[in-house]
Amino acid sequence: MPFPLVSVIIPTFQRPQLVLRAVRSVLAQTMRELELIVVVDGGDPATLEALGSIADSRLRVKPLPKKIGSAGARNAGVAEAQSRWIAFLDDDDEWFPRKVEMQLEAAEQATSPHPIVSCRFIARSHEGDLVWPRRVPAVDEPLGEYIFCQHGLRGGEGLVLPSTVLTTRELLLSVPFRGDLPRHNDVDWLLRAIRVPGATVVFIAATDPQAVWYIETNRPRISNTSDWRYSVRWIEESRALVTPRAYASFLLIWASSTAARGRAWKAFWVLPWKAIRNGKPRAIDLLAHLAIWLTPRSARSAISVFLESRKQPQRGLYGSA
Amino acid sequence: MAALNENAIRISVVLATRNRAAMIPEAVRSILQNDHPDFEVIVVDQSEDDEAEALLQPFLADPRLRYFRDSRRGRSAGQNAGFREARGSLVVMTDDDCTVPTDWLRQFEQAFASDARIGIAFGNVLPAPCDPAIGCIPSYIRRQPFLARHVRDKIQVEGIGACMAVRHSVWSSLGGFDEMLGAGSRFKAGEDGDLAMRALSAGTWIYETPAISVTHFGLRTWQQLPALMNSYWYGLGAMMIKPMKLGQWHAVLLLARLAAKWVMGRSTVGSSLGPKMHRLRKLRSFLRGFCAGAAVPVNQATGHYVAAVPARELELGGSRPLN
Repeated sequence: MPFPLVSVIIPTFQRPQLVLRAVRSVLAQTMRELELIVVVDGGDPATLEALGSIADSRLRVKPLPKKIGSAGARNAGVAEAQSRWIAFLDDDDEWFPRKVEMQLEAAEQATSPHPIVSCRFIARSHEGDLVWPRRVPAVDEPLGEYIFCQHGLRGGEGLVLPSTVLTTRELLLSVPFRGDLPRHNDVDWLLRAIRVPGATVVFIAATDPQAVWYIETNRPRISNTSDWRYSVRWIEESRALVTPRAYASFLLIWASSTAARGRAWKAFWVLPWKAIRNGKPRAIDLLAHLAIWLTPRSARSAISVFLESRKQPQRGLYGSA
Repeated sequence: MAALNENAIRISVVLATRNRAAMIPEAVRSILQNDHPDFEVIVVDQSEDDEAEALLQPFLADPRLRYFRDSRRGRSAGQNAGFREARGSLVVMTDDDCTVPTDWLRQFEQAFASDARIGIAFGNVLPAPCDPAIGCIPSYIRRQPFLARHVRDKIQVEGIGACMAVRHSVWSSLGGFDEMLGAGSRFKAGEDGDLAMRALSAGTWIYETPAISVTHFGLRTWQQLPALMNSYWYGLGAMMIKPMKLGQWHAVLLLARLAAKWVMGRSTVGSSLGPKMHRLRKLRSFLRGFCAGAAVPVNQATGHYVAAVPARELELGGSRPLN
């Protein structure tokens, strides 16, 4: 095998069929000089057996003696990786065959030493396919604002999906994933990594999606009433990493929707109060907060269509495929 | 990057199918019998039953064949799914009711080799023998090769998706087929012509040649034909109003000429779809598609029709992968 140009890391636990789909999508890449490290997070004989059925010298299986969570599993994979470039894939997602080829090209052309290369993906559910994100970051747009602030009442506008990230091993060694966070792990890593000098988020030029994110097969989203408090604690702790605008948007859209799903009405008052006091909310954030709590889907759809129709066509803003 | 991919597959064949399994084994067998040294076949199956999957089982031992299920509807969506899985720099398409000759892929490769500016190529779609008492088979037959270099040449280019090849880079830069056009979609037809038109507007050349052909077995009875004709012209109407909505006014003259040619029955594909006495019906369907297209917004950046706001995108925050 030639020295791998890219190390691909898949953390997995007890999903043998799904991980095989992910593994096959990596081994079918047009960029063949890669190594694939599947980190099996804890004792899991069924997954080890399923992976044993794949005959490809580029595949390495790394079983961990006990379960340490996806952040720890990713870090363990980084420690094993040999290449300069590392790409992550979650075990329930998959890639299209050109993904690594196109990202490697973008990575090698990037002017910064530590590009975090991402791409569009298909968000697939039983309702159909959507191509997200609908917008790529503008020049000099702070990453927190790109991810948290939206310009309308539609989701999927700005995102960096973990399964689309390709970056340098060096960056991952200096900024590892935090193993102590039950939620917001990926975005926490992004916001800390982007502060390293020379780290920038780069999207590949091609607008067609290069990965699939399966919404149905994700772990069931059980939100309990304390989840929104956890989100608030996380953003308070991470306030130095984001702008006041991004801080307010996170509270009024992300934390607010989590609280609304658990019908935790206290959050309806607490979140805007915090956002106004400590951050810089925009009108659209407050509108979104009200919409999340007070309007049925149909009304939200009508408001959303109205807002979109008043918008001028913008560079880099794409419809959903 | 080229050096990295010296082993890469050169051609991908994409075959989208939906609830029409009968001919699939024949189609796949004829493609796999091609004498080209380096290609893969991608079948995208949108069927509600498992018949096509079962019939394809014997072929799946061949590593060149890759089979995918797609739960969505519409030929253009299926083609786009196939293009995303394609590893070849050239993607060739045909239909689930066509068979191809053994030199089919070599001929396509040769057509593209003549000039790097050629981004799309069409071949002939020959009708299989059929009983004229029952119906007819839609076809497209051109006697001389033709190279289109400008949108105004579109009047000469009417090739159809049953025998079509596109450079993957061209498909990618155009954002793929418009999924609101094409069989099984909102506007029922026209996705192949729409891609050709957008490619020409972007400066890509299109080559049509009788040296390449497929044989079409899709017999339509005389009872089925009016519906097929209606969707064909409806889709064309929706396709033709798009350049105007995108502000490409140089296309307007072309549209007028094309529309006249089609309505007058001098179109090759069009006349294979039925006798000329149906001109009024064609015009009516065309105008309906034209008006329906006028009512649906077009994304100025991608040149695609915009679908309604999907319900999932109204789930603010909750549908985000990062929380």
